Amino acid sequence: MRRSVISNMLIISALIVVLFLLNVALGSVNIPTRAAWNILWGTADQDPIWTNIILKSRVPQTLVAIVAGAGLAISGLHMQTVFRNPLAGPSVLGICSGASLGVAFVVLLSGSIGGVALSRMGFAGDIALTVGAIAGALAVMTLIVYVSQRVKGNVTLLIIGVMIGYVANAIIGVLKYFSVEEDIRAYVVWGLGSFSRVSGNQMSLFVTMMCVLLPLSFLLVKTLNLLLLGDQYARNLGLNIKLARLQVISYSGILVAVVTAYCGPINFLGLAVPHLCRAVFRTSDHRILTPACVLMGALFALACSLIARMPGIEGALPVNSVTALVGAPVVISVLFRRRKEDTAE
Amino acid sequence: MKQPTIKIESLSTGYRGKNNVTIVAHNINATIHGGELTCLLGPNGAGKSTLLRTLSAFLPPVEGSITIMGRNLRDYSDKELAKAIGVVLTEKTDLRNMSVEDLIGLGRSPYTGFWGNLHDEDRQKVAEAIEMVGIEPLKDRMIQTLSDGERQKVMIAKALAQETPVIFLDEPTAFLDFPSKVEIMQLLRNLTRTMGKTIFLSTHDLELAIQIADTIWLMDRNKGVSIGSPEDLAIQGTLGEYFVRKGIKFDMERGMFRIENEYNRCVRLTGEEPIRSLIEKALNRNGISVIDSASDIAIDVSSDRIKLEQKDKETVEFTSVSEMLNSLFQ
Repeated sequence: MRRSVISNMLIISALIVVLFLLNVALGSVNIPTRAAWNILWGTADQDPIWTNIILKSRVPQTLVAIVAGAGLAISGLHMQTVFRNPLAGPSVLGICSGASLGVAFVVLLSGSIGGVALSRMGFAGDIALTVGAIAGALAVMTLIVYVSQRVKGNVTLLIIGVMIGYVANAIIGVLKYFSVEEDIRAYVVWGLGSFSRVSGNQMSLFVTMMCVLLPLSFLLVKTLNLLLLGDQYARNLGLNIKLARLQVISYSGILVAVVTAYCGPINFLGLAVPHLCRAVFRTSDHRILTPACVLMGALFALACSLIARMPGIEGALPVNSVTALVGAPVVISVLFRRRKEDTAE
Repeated sequence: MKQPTIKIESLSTGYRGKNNVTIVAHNINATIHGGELTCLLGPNGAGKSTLLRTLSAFLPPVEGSITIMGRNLRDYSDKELAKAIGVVLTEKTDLRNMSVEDLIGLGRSPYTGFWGNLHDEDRQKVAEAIEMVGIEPLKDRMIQTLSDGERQKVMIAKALAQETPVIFLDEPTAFLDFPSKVEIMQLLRNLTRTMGKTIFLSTHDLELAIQIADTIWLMDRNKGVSIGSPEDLAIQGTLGEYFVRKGIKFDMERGMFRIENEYNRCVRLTGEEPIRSLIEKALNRNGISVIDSASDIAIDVSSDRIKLEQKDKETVEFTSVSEMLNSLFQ
């Protein structure tokens, strides 16, 4: 591996550590940095309220941001490669919309049919929400995989993904019409995206799942590198295209489904981070891009989560707004640079 | 006697739909030999690409069989096929941020392990492929910065790194300027000679193919496939049959096609070669045929002047062909 690659990875890792500490130290409740540091290492008895805030809220939130960011970045990378489209990303294929639809069904229908507002049910409600999101995302993904076996062009598939998104949004609109206001509010809050909604046992479950899922992405590096050449060249080099597409799409679909279920739909991160990695590492090699996306995704999510909870901001900004505000300029600048390169050559 | 590498028996190519089968080419019987450059020629829509796709196993044959190195194509696994056949396609890959060397390295994929890492031996093969194609200076360039011709050479190097005895190329000379076309064709012929590769390619560059190919396949929707050396096909008149249409004529002497001109005047032309022939071409192009017997117009050429004698007119001398033509058409 080239030296610049290793040094870049080290720089990103160092930044992750810095942002991790900042995420723990900063927040709406003012805790002195020294106290936060001590609590983190459990060295001294500190104010129990501070200890609670840091260990029960800030640290879990930060961990969730790290794994969610890494997961979305990896799924974005995989989708951009398999669809050979720079604009492919978790939200484009309609998988996020699928998750939203699942949640909408659970949240909005429980009120109007079951007669209970889900938002009042507490923990059970949370579980129901998660299950709804995963079911919705997997349903759309199954549909996409099924279609991908039958449709030849990747562009067609991408368009179908976008169409699924529209249909899902339309159905959600209809559901909203028949729902009680409380539930609509709960749904809207979920839709804003957040790294902090996941707590306690669910957090451990989520982080564990992601820690199992993320390393699996390394199993696909050779497949992804071959897919870069296009279907026919890849086939000629011994790759079973149908199987490869199935593996890559379902793997990245599951990643998105899990992240979306726990954190809500988070836009732009999955789209922007792979572009950022290609620009920084100047390579298309997935042996480098895979670890790069894991690190860069975590870094990006930490930065967004930090911005969302900047001191002085009451509560927290919706993560979705922050990722879009940071991510959109990144994507635009990358695309502009690409055009410039093309015309210059 | 060259060894036949590929045997094609009563092959029909086409696409299998749900209820119907679209047949593109019928009942092809042929062999392709090792150490030979075979060119597939034919008008657009003749089924050249479909045939190549079928031979590359991207498309199952509708009927008949293809035997490559003694084994039916059907019996090869994906992995084995990757070590038997290398392809170079017309489709432009939209690869970015990958160096030429890394791309050629992907040609080693059938031999690399789980991660696709290159070992010393693989690196050696990549270096050899780069040398054979003569693209050492491009080695570290990014794919998106290459010209079409350079890109084509890189893909050929990829196929060489793949170390397959058979290489199929779909219109490798399309989109290239003429010198690059010649360069690519010569490169491919050299590979058949030095490495004994079996190379089969489709092309629209008829004249180039006639001059360089060992064997030519002519393909047409109605006439089917005809196979032979360029010269045999010319003698049998097959070449003419396939390509001659209004305005195109096959020139047996030169072994190439010529644009047919309609003549309405004739002149007597004498003088030194090769200038005489050049002037003849210029006259032909302008609808004037050349005769040896006496005529109302006579032109005599030497290395420094063109003398034009016309009946009832003064004799004039010119220093350039265009001046002479202008005067002739006044």
